[in-house]
Amino acid sequence: MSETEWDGHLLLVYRSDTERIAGLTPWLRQASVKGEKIVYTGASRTQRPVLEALEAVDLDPARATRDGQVDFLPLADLLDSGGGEALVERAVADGFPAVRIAVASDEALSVLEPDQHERVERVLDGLCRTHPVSLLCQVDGSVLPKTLLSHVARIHLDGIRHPALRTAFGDRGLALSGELDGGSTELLSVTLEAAALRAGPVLRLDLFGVDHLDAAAARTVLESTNDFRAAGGRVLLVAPQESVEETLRVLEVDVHDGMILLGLDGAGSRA
Amino acid sequence: MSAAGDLRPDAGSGSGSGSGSDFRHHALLYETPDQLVPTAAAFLREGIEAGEVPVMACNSELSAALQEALGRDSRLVVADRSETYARASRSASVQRRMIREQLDAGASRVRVLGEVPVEGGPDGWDDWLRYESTVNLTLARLAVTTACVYDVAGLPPWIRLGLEQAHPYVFRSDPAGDHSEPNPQYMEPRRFLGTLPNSTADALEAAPPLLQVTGVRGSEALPQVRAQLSDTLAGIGTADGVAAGIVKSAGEVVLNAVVHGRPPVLVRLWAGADQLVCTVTDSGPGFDDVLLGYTLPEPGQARSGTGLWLARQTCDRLDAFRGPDGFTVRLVTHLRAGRPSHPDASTRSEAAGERAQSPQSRADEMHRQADLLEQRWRSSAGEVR
Repeated sequence: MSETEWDGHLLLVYRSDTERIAGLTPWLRQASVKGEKIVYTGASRTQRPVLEALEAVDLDPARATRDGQVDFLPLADLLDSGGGEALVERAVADGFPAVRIAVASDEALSVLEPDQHERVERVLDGLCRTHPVSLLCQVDGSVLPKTLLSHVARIHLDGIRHPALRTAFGDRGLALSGELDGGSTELLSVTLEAAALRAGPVLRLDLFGVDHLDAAAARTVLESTNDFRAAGGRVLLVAPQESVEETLRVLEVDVHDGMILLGLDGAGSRA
Repeated sequence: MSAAGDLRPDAGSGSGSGSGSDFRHHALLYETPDQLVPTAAAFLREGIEAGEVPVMACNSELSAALQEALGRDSRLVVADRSETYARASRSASVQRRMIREQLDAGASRVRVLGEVPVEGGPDGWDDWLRYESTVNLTLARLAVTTACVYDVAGLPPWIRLGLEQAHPYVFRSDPAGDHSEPNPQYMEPRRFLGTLPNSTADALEAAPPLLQVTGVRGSEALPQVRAQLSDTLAGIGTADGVAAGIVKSAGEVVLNAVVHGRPPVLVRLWAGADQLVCTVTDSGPGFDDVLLGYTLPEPGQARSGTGLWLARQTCDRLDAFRGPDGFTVRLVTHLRAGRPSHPDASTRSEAAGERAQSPQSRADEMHRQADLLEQRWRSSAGEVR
């Protein structure tokens, strides 16, 4: 994954502390390399993985905190601060080139209603666009109810980071990457449902970055776009790697109405 | 077998002479070429006359003889035999796609004459007998009539018997010509599969495995299991495509084991001179349905069998059995000289040039096609408005 894939407004979905640390580490490495300020907002009991990840990128948590490079804030402080603008401007005034804010989103969702949470997210998203800020929202996908997983996936469609699935939205539609298998179908499902809601009549999925796709994931691609296709929408599956294309064809994903596969073998024959 | 004649099914045998939704699967067994061509030509001619799409996937000699016998009829579709029959475990699926494409394009019915190129000795015949039996399920709902051509001269009796038992229809000769009729020797796939011998992989499994992955407990371990299998196979120089196939099969079976079985799951891999064997064992009850994975569940149906459908087609053989260690699924991939390194490698000749491009430029090209399609759809929508 390139360095830029850890910038901007992202959602880290993890299933264990190990996965959380694995996701936090490259994100924090950017801060370490570039000398950026790091702000972690969440309860102190959720800080341990952050401390481990800081050590993994050679930042001594105690010293970095003392030097002002790392701040641990209760979530309420961020929520009460009107979206963190003052916090960011203070950091920039102190000489930091940029600020990385890590948010325990599941903690936020335990005190905010989803619509309130979405408003906060919008403010923070605006901060990412107007200030030198990268935001890493984090949820434990193994315990978050599906409705809330769907909620956070919809908000963060541009930048989901999970051990098996990463997303980006651009001119080429929704780019998926990773190894999509039975361990990530719930997240894939809510992601595709959210993407279908955002799409016009065509939902383009760029599969170039997908290294593996198993039968469960292929079924999820079909099932989570059922309503969209039944309403006349078309799903374009574009540029899969050879092995992924083979799986899609063996499972006959491309013979379903509204599903068009553009790959090496008979590209777009049903278009 | 007599000279070519009327191949219509006997009265009362079921589906009439022309279109319909049922699969009619014939054995066309012959001992001398002069028996074959007239019957095969009559089979195809009948399809042409009924307005069906006739397809043949035969060797070049038989193809030429049939084209000659049919007056070089332009309606005859010549399919690539090496593509159609690249491997037994995939052939039904490849034909299913080809038949669907013809039906989607407007054919009322498709008629296929196929000549299976069996190789690999007894194991190879086992694979193709399994195919001939289970294709009755895989193509069951399609409007297709097939005749499977086998030269049975000199074949051991068990193979000939197997071919006869796997086909629900045969051709009967009488002075008026050859007739299609139900085969009294036919055995339903569930029974037929029980007559096939066990895999010959047992001897290989007596040796220590190349790789043993223990304690797999959840689906989050799948990427690591696949990576370990891939690395091990790469380490012994397995061709990429062959390795990718068995790794894909194994991934499906491991997921089944962690979801439906009882952890911990044990994965083992052996490599012999002529085959790769991977076993996946858990202590759950397993499944008894020997036909699981030979049909693709429709959307909306339970997912059960979808992974096994993929697993069966990305290796050569999938056996499931109970033993002292629990329930085991064994995956076997044959390593045969001259075999394409990738299951689809022989079918992708047209795409070979595109593969020579960098992966990124291929992806760019696909996106350009997507842009054009979207543009076309937008224009059509505009015209409608």
